[in-house]
Amino acid sequence: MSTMLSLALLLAGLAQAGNSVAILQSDELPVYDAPIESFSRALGKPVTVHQLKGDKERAKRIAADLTSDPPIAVLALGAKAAWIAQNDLPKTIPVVYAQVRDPDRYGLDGVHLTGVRMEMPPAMVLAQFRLLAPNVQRIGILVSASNKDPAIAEAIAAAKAVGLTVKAQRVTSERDARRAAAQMAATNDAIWLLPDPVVLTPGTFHFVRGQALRNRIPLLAYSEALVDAGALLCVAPDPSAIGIQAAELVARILEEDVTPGVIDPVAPNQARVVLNVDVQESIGLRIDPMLLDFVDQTVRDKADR
Amino acid sequence: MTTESAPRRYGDYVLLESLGRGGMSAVDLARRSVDSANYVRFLVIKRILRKNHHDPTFVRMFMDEARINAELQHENIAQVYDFGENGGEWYLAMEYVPGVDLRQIQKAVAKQQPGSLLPPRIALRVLHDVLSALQYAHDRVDTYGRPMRIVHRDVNPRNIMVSVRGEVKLIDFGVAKADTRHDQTTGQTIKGKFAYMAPEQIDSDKPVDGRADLFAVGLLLQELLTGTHPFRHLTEIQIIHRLMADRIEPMPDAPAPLDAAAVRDVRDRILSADPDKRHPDARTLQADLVRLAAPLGGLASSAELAGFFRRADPDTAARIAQRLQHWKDSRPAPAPLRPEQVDDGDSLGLPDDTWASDARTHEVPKDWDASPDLGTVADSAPSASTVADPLPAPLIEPTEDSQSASSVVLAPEPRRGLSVAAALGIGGGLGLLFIGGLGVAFLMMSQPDKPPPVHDASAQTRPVDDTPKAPVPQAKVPEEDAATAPEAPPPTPKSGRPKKTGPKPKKAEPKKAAPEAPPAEPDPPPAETKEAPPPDPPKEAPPAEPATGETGFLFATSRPKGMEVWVGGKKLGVTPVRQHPLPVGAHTVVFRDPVSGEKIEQRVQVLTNQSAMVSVTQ
Repeated sequence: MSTMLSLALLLAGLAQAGNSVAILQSDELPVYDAPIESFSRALGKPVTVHQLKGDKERAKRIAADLTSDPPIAVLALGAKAAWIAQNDLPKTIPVVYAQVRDPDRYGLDGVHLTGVRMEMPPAMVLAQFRLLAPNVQRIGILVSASNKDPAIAEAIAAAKAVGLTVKAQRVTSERDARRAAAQMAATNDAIWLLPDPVVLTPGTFHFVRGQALRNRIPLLAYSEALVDAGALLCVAPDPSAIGIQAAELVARILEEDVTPGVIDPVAPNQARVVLNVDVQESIGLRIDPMLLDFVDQTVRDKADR
Repeated sequence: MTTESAPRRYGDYVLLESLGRGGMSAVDLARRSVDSANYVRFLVIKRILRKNHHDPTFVRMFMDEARINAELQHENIAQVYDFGENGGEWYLAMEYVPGVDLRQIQKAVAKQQPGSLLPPRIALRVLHDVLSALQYAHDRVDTYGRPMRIVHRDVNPRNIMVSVRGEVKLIDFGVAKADTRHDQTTGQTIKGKFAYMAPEQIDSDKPVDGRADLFAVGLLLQELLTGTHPFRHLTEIQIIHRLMADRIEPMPDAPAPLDAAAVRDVRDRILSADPDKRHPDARTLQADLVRLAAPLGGLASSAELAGFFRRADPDTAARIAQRLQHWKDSRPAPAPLRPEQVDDGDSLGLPDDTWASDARTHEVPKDWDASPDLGTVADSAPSASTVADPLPAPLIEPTEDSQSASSVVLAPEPRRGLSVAAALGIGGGLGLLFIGGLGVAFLMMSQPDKPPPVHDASAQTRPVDDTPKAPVPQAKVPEEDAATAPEAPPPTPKSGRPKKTGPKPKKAEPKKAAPEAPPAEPDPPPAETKEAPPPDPPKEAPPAEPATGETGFLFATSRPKGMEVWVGGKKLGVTPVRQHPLPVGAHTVVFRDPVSGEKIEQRVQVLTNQSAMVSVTQ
């Protein structure tokens, strides 16, 4: 038997059975409240919440405690929690992560780990968007040249698949982004903002938003923060539903003989739509009141206040 | 990524509908036909997603699967017809097995009556056929007469297909070992599913031969005849521990009329840790199974197996028949896609070498990166702009990510397979290194799409209908000019703590919730369920626009709100019901007043990935 194997078995022997699920929470942020609540309710097992408070040393101490008294599974909320669960917990403890954008970037991948992604399936985003803005035929997407996130290509493909004409423009700098945004706003029926830190700086967002208002076209975003800041609407994952999905993953792992690593991370299955009614009025978008049934929340444009 | 578009021409084939899609590859039901000869053959096309063509390991595995499978022509092995490249994609054309995998059969049986098992004659017949396939594979020589020494290494219920015709097919030689493999497995890589893995597959010092597959059959034997599995509820490390310590729990008695002692003897022999103590080959084990079945009347026949399938899972059997009939008679294939319609992200022309400096790494929890190999240990303060940053702070999701969004940390490029290795750098221990190896193995097993290549996805897919879209209330943008909106002041820079959003409305029930009974009064919801095929399969070509999936989305609301919404006998929720996936096709939506029981019906046409909205006012 190989040395490596012996050590692995030694590690396995350290594992002890527990009967509760540990929730690691990266920071004390309200955004985690809903998934924790829905997760606990849906799982129906005892849970213990551990606040990492964004503190690395504290997180390592918690990880050490969990290693000595292992829970039956871990829900890691946020990138830091997932990071510590990936790297500091024994691989014998199943881990489900959530609320982590682009988990591949953190190397969240392994036999003991799966999760709920943060990216909404683009088809679901477009379905919601087109319901509220059915006249959109041409949609522009700004993306930095360095952004190789597959989600970008998926978004483009999804838009094409529903018959939209897509204009995806690559940019390499803020100045480039502004130039492209101005042109895009003038020649498209809507602009779709996707996660891209080069494109989505406060400066460029402000500019893109202004161009969208000037041309009276919808600006579709991916987070509520951007709707607050002046995008028309977002179709974002529903945090409560994410908690339920995470609970389903944990239940599946515990109740069936499923190794977490063989379960592909799942996409959010329920959306939360937030509409900025000030922007809606500014661009003259009329929405049938019945359709507003499908909007979870309306906000006012904080950027204008 | 390749746009899903069905049906569409794909080389000599027509892709009809998606059967599954993983991170690495996609599997479609396809058809090869010669109209003038009234010839139709259904098959399965498995293709590597173009974005994964750069992954040499996966491509090699794919090619190995093709190479090994191409040498195998046996009635109990799903055959590979063709292997090649189309439009820059590698693909395998494989036999389509109209059925489901053994695990689904087990579930269907258990669903009918909790705790019930496959009849022992059926179970033994299935295993007997699997052993036929294994014996053939183990003995196979290549075209030049050289022994191929093929070992499947992943015999498990998901890789055993049972067809509605009573055939048993072993599938997925994706991790098979053979002397002709280009991607020779080394001791550091473990392939196969742990719950069905033989000890020698785990211990790199020991050679693996066909007897490892027999070990898996032994575990299946216990599982099918007793409903137990010695490794159930164990983690993979615990499984390894048990295997290496030769500590497999005794088997409970197989129920009468089986000879429990005889079954135990066979099972114990197969599960010997020492391969030399097992049955020497599949044929010998087959003989034992025949002996076990003899007091029961012998192994079940194909006709019995087919009949059992229809009784155990009548819905699936019916759906498969409907599907094949539908696709046999359906429209001719549309014109080939133009290249620009297949957008895999490469069309953006994004350079490959920019990841390392990608500003997206800002979101890496910088202060958490303890490994010198992985990047810079930066300031741990969760503020937005504490460290010099050559790029403006991005606007990102209000999670803790955003708090650490500003400092420059060049994270590693944690790609599949390598990511575990990256984690190992942190762990540092050899034990973790080994586990990392397991991780790599699992990734290699799981990422190349686990949906079995000939797995019948049971008809959630429906043809794209070319009827007009469902009515959607038109929200028009006024055409008159409006005053140019003044530009607002810049948005407030993101603070560390995101605001708390308002109260969230209650959502639909969790997806695991059992569907409620349909309304009893005054009559049941309409017949076209989401399982049922469209009543009149379209004869015309599909719409020109490419379709990316097999479902669309239903939005339903009412005045007053709170009406129950039913489709195909299933309650979807109460209004407003939104974005409920439905198979493409015509549906009748039934709105039901929960108090008065009054019902209102609305027809709706669901198109691929499109929103279909219906509303009623009482």
